[in-house]
Amino acid sequence: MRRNILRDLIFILFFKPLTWIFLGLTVNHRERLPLQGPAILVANHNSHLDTIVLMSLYPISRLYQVRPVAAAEYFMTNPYLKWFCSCILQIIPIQRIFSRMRTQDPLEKVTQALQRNEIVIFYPEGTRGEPEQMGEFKKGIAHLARQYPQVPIVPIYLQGLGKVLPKGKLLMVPFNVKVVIGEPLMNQGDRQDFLGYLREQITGLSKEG
Amino acid sequence: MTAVYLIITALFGFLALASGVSFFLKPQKRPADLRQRILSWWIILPLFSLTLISQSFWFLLLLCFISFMSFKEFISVIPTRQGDRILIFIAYLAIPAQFIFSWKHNTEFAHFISIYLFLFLAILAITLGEIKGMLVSVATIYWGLILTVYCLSFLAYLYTIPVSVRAPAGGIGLVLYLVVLTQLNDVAQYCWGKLIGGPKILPQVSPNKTIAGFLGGVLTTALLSIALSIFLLPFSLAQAAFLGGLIALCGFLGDILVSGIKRDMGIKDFSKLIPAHGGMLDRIDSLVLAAPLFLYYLKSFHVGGL
Repeated sequence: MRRNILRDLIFILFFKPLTWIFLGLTVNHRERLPLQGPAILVANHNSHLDTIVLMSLYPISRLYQVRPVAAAEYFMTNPYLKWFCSCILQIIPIQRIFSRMRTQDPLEKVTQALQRNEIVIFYPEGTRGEPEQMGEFKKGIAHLARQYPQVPIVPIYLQGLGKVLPKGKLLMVPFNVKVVIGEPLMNQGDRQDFLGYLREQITGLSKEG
Repeated sequence: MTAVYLIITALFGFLALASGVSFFLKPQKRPADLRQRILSWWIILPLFSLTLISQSFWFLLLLCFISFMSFKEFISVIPTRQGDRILIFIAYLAIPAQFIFSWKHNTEFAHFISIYLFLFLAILAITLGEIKGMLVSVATIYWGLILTVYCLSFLAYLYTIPVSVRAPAGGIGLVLYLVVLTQLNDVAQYCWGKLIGGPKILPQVSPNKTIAGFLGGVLTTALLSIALSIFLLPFSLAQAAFLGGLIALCGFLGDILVSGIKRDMGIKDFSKLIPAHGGMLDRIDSLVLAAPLFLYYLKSFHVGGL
C-alpha cells in the first residue's frame, strides 16, 4: 500500500482532532505500539470508531502500513462505504460467512499483508457485540499466531467507545476514551489455550488505572 | 486596559521566575512533577491571556471549550446507562446555549439549566421509558451540568459586565482578577503546605492539603487581592481584602468538592489532558464556587446598576 494524500488529510484535519477533543484520548504505554511491521494489533471491539482510534495512534507518515481487518459482507456492499474503507482505511476484507465449498484460506489476505511487513488490526471477537462487554474470541487469531510465531501480537484494551458509538446507533456522544497497550506476545502460538491466554492479557489491561 | 496588560506581563514574569527557580533547584529538593507543571502553565497562560485581551467571542469560545472538556470528564467517570446517551447529548447542546445566555446577560441565564433543563431531562428519561435507575442518572447528569457548565458560565457574565459597574478595567479586569486569584491561591496553598507542612486539613479527601497551607493561602490571596483591586475592582481596600479571603476559601472548598467526587468514583485525576495537572476539571475546580460568589459579592456590595 502506498501513501495517499487524501487519507493523510482526512486524518490530520478530522480524525486526529476528533480523537483528541471529542474522545479525550488517553493512551497508556504508547511506547509499546509497534511502529514497524509485521505486527498484529489485537483489540476488543465495541464500535466502528475502534479502528479510527487505533489508526490515529500512528504518526501520519506510518499510516499507510496499518491495515484493519474487516468483514467484507458488511463494509464492501455500499459503493461509498466501499470506497472509504478500501481507499482511506485500506481495510483487509475477509469473509465471515463461508459456503460449504471452501476453497481458499479465509485469512489469506491477512497473511499476505504480514508478508509485506504491514501492521494488521485484528478484532478476535469478530463483531462489535454488546456495548462495553467482551464477547467470545474466534479462532482465526490462534491460527495466525501458530503460523507466524515471530510476528509480535500486541494486545490492546479499548475503553469507552461502546458508550460513544455503540452497535446499531447513529448518534455519537462524547465520552473520554482510554487505550491501554500491552506487552507484545511472541512465540505463544503453540499454547494449548491461546485464545484464553490472549483474552486474559486484554482483561488484565482493562484493570490498569 | 493598560492595567490588564501590566498584570499579564507580571504573570509572565512570575512564571519565568518560577521556571528559573525550578531549573536551579536540586532534583532531591524538587517535587517530581514541578517542571512539567510549570511547562503546562506555559501553554495555559498564553492561551488564556490572548483570548482574554481579544475582547471578542474568542474568549466565549475558550470558556465553552473548558466547560465542554470538564463536563466530558465528569460524565465519563460517573456510571451511566446506555439509555442515558440521548440525555447526555442534550446536556452537551446546553453548553453553548448557557454560555450565550450568560454572555448576553439574558435573564434566562439563571433558569435555563437550573430549572428548565432540570425538569426536561427527567421528563425525557421517563417518556423514553428509561425508568429503572432514572433518578440516579438524571441527578448525576444535572450535578455535572451545574458544576461544570452553570457555575463556569458566570465567567462569561462577568466578562461582558456593563460599564455601569465602574470596574476600572471593565469585565476583562474582573475575570482576570478572579482567575489570577483562584489559580495563585492554589499555588500559594501548595507552596505554604510544602514549606511549613504540619497537620493535614482533610486527609480523607486531599492527602496533600495542610492547615498551614490553607491559612497561608488565605493570607497571601487577601494581600494579592488588595494589590489587584487598585487596578481592577470597584471596591475599597477593606472590601477587597475580605473578598480575597472569601475567594481563597471558595477555591479551597471547590477543590475538595471535586476531590470528593474523585474519591467517590475511585480515581486520582479526571483525565491526563494537562500534563502534571490532570484533567481540565482538576485545573478549574477552584473556580467552580468562586465564580458565582464573586458575582453575588459584586451585586451585594457594589453601589450602582447591575
